[in-house]
Amino acid sequence: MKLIKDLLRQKNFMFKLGLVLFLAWVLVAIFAPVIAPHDPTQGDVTLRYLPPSADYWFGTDELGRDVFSRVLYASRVSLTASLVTVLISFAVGIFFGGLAGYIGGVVDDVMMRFSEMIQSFPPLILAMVIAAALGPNISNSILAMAIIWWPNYARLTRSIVISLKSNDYVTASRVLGATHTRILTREILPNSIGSLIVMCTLDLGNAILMFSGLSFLGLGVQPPTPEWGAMVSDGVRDTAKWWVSTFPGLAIFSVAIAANFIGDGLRDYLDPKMRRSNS
Amino acid sequence: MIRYLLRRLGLMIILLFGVSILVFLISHLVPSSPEAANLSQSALNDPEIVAAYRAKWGLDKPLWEQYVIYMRNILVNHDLGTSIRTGRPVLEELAQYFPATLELSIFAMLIAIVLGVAFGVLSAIFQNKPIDQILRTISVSGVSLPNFWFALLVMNLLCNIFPIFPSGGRYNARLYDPASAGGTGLYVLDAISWGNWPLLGDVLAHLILPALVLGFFTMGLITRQTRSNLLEAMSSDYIRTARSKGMKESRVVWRHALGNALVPVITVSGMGFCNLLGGMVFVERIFSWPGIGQYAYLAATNLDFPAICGVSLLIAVVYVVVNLFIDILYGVIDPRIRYQ
Repeated sequence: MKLIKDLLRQKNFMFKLGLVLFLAWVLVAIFAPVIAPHDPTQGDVTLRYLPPSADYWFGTDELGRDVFSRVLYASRVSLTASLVTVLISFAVGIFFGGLAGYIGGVVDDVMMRFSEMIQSFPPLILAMVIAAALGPNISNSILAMAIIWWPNYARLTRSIVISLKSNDYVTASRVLGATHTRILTREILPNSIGSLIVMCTLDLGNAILMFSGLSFLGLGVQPPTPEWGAMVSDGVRDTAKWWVSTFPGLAIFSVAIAANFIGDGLRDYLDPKMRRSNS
Repeated sequence: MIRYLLRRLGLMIILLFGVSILVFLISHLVPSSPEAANLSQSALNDPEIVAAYRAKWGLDKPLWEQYVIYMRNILVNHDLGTSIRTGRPVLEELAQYFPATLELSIFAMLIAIVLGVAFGVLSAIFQNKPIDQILRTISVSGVSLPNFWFALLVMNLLCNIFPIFPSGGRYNARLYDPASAGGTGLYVLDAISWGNWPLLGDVLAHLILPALVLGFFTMGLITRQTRSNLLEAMSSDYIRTARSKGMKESRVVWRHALGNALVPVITVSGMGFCNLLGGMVFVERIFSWPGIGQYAYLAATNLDFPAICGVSLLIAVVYVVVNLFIDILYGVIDPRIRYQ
């Protein structure tokens, strides 16, 4: 709580803007059915490709569906999928990374080689291949992204654990007879959580970009569920109807930039060296 | 230095070995039946073709033996299989698509590095001035823009609404035909070596927008890294010493601070290049660029497994080689890395 208070007291406009934007999207996702003026999946083909107007703020798409309502509803899938991806990668990553860093030896070697192997693919290509192989749908694209992302967390956790475990307070705790589990969960993890949270926030932006990218390619969310990336690809067919792709794209951009602002703000706050040079 | 090089090369070989296992497992375990995943429908109806396919890839043998056969087919016979979608050998297709991607990514990297370093230096020199704020906004946008959307927006604006640039493709097919002239496939190089200046102009006009969009993310990364490194370097002791000797500010920045600030930028460039390989899929699709990204997309969406494996292997090899190059460069520039 004190952390949040301190953060808000900082004179960091970008961080606050990011926070407001992100919270606004969370509210939109929760209250989409209340705010949306039209049905997101049922369209009237006679009303197809209407430009933005008072009735249809963001215009209508190829099937005569209201783009504004669809953008609102799509926030549900996109935000949930990105959050779940980051949470899974985070949980799996700190488990294996903590273990590798703490135990070292063979466990460490095997895990590092495995994560290097995954990281030697450009993430999007690997996600595309996995999502295509498993069959394109929401849960498979989340799975594909989590498979790619967890090594990042594992490596970060590992490096922090290695640097922390030789600290005096860890040795002291061991001398006092603390179990390994206790040392890991009570002494080491709380001290590494800061940089991990920064990574999670920044990754949330990346996750939303990749998730919408997969859907754009037809490898993620399937119609008629509204999703921002898939909506942008609706606009590729007829680029003159600019409103079909522009608004969902703006939505992706706003969430990604909000995550970046929040992540940068947190990092600057947690790293006093950066705080000085940015103030 | 030799020891460092050998160690890096050894690691690279282990890594590529791992990558080949990963690709092999995806192609052989994920689809329920490898025949169905790797043969076209008409081929599946012919028991002779199915039997020949099973014999060629050793599908009746245990998994590890299948892997050995798979690797032998790649390394000895240079056979990556046949694309289901087109019926042509995957290796041949990759060779055909690769130059387009190579040309595009080289230009995108050039744009990203030149603009990224320039913006980063400007941002750091004018810290917290309006120009810094503007450049920071551009760089943070660079890492937050969905590039498939950005590509679409840029193309719509500069090719359709204001037709300044040609939309899509690598050259104007009605005027030129560099493909059948038998050059390197890198049309900028070809046009220069043939002395064909109108073709060079046409090729560059087609290249600039996709390269800019593709390099935008990496440019953002490099700008951010350059700025924060330079700011950190500027507050260090040796800079204070240089200043206290009465050195001119421009000399302090360019000769003393920037050199040290640029070393980590090389690493970020490597990360940026990795991202570029992914962004390619979108940019090539929207600008109808006939490259590896387009090929990867078509392979993945058609579940063309031989092509998917071929393209993943190619990209992984390129990526690992580029990273090896960056590591070596890093070791050359910063001796501390070498001796670790």
